[in-house]
Amino acid sequence: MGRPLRGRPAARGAASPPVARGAADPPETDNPNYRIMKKTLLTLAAVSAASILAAADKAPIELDYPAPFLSGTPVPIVLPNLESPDAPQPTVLAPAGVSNIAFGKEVTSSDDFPIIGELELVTDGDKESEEGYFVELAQGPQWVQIDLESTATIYGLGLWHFHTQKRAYVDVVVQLSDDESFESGVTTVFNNDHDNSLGFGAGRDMAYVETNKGKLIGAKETKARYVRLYSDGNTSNEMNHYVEVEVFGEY
Amino acid sequence: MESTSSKSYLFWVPAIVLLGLAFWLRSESSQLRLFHADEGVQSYQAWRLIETGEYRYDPSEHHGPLLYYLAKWMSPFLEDEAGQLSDDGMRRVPILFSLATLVLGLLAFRGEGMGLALLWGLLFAAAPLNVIYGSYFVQEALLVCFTVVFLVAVYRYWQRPCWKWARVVGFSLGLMHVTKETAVIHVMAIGLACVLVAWIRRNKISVGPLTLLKHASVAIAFALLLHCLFFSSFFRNPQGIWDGFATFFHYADRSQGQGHEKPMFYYLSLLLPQRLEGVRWGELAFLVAVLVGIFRTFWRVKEKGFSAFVVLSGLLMFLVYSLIPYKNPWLLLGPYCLLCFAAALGVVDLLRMGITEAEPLRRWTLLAAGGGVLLLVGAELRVNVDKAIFRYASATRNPYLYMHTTPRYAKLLERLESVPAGIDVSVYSSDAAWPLPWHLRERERIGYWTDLETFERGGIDLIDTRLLEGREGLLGDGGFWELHGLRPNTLLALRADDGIAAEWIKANAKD
Repeated sequence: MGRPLRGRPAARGAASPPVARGAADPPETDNPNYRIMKKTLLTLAAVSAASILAAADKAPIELDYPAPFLSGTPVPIVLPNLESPDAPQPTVLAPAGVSNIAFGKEVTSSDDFPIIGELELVTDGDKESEEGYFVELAQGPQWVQIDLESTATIYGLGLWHFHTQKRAYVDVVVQLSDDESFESGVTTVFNNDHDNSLGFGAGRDMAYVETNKGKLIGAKETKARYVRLYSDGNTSNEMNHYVEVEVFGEY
Repeated sequence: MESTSSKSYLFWVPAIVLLGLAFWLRSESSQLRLFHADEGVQSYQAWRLIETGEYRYDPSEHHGPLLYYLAKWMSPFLEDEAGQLSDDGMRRVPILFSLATLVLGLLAFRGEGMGLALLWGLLFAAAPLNVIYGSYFVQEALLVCFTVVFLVAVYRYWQRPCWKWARVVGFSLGLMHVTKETAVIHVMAIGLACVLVAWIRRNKISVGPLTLLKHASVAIAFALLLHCLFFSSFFRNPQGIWDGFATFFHYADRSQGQGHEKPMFYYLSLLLPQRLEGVRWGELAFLVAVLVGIFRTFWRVKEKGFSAFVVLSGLLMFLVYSLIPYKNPWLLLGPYCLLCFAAALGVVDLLRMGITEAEPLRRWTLLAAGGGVLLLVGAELRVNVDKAIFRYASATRNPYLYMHTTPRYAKLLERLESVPAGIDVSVYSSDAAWPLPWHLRERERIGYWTDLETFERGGIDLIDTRLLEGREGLLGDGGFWELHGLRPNTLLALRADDGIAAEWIKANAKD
């Protein structure tokens, strides 16, 4: 289906009169420049008048937009193993030997009683998205928090929400702090809450579709003991899920 | 058929309660579940008929005309307080016919026993499949209603051939036909069940061939009259009369699947125990009751002709639908309605055998078995209602739903409805992102494109992310864009001008 031209042609206003250059004008009878200028001005005035008269007959272009066609029942799209698209992960630098210091660490949450699974699944090292590998938290804005047990220098985080279906999680915010209640000393290392739904400010990070490769987030060598990750449902449902969170840092 | 009890209030009081329950569940389900793409397409066509009076039957798509005309005739009752057609309003049409099916079934099955009729009524009123698709603005609820009328009329005619039942057979056949092309499956299954039961019971029809031919002619005349009226858009489109027959060629081709092909046991697998995204589903107790009902029906086929006819019709329908590659959950509604009868019969017959059994051990065994199955069916029904109708009303993990609109679509609609009327909205999707065109039908400056060949950034751009693969750069230099779910594995990218986005952010701040 072709697309009609969008927008309207630029309005043609009257031409601006040229600015006269030079010193004071000589008498008009014996100044050839004056005659040239006079001719030019008369010509411009005529063109302008014609333009104005022509514009009086014009109206804004109104486009006919194509109507929707009546399709049948949508065909299922089966993506058993959602592979990562070609978009490369960001480069996050860390000293050699830095490992996942979140492995096996205690996880708490705004939802004390997950609907499915246990909070321990967030740091158990399993990144599968099938039954038994993910925790499901209630709908609405929810967070999980990992206690690294002591302050560490954090270089980056790996995050897997859910990847057996094409979906994107909404309002993903990742914060680091030494304060367990996240009331002070908070560093936000990722925020794609672009409409400020959560109230931490509008984020500039991009929304992304979950894949088996997860999301690598740079942490700018922030020193913190606690890692808190927010989300507010996803594009498939209102629930919040975590398969795994890895924190790459050193004590 | 058995004589009914003289204490009619014992039947009618629970029957009215069941009707109330059915109405409440369907209304609640309708409130909690977003519009499916198919509902959007059907509603859009009904809206165009209401607004312009124009409708032409399309033999290759979208089924029969009756649903649209019913919506037109009922339109004053479908509007909201602002005088606009709404999702809830459109769903009043199938809800009405689903409730009519319940009433008709209670009346028809009462002759087989009050307990049996009421238990069928409970299953029909509350089973998730019946509730969900009894409030779906597609043709299925209407088709099931007319199928029940046809089924009863065929049996009554067989028992007592007369002009009255011949006319009812013809009228219900015509209504089924102008509702949906798949009516032919129901007619074949019911016809074959009637012949088989008559053959097993050695029943013969009590009229001669000439009278039978006259009655059949009247029935066919009624069906043809309805065919001509509806398919020709009440004679505005004479071509529709032929198209109404030609459609069977199209649907024979479509039945091969066209992307919806499923294995033979798909319908059975919907009812078997399963886990979806961590949630347990299944209707094992119901299936056990159905098996008991089938066994008991054919054990007593000589004395229970009507029961055998109903159960066999349901089984044959189930079998035919299972054999057809094209499958989706709402096609199960017809056979499921009749299998509910088999389940009710299974439970009631076990209890009845227990009550009438003289030998104590057998008596208590039968009573325990009947009571146990009844309790399990009831508990299972309660759990499934809670999950399928309330907790996971629009969720992809709900096995009764098929390519359903995801809950996040509500957020997308909220965004788009807040956009001033003068702003251009462009939708780029290979399938028009239904039900979006229905919800945005009143917008004047909205267009739909099937590809991105002529993409230009406008006020609001909605792009199916499948079209974006490899062309993500089209979204440009950041700005405001976000992802919204439409259906399982189908995402829409919403891009908005900074001014509009600023308004959305401001609205969030107020919230």
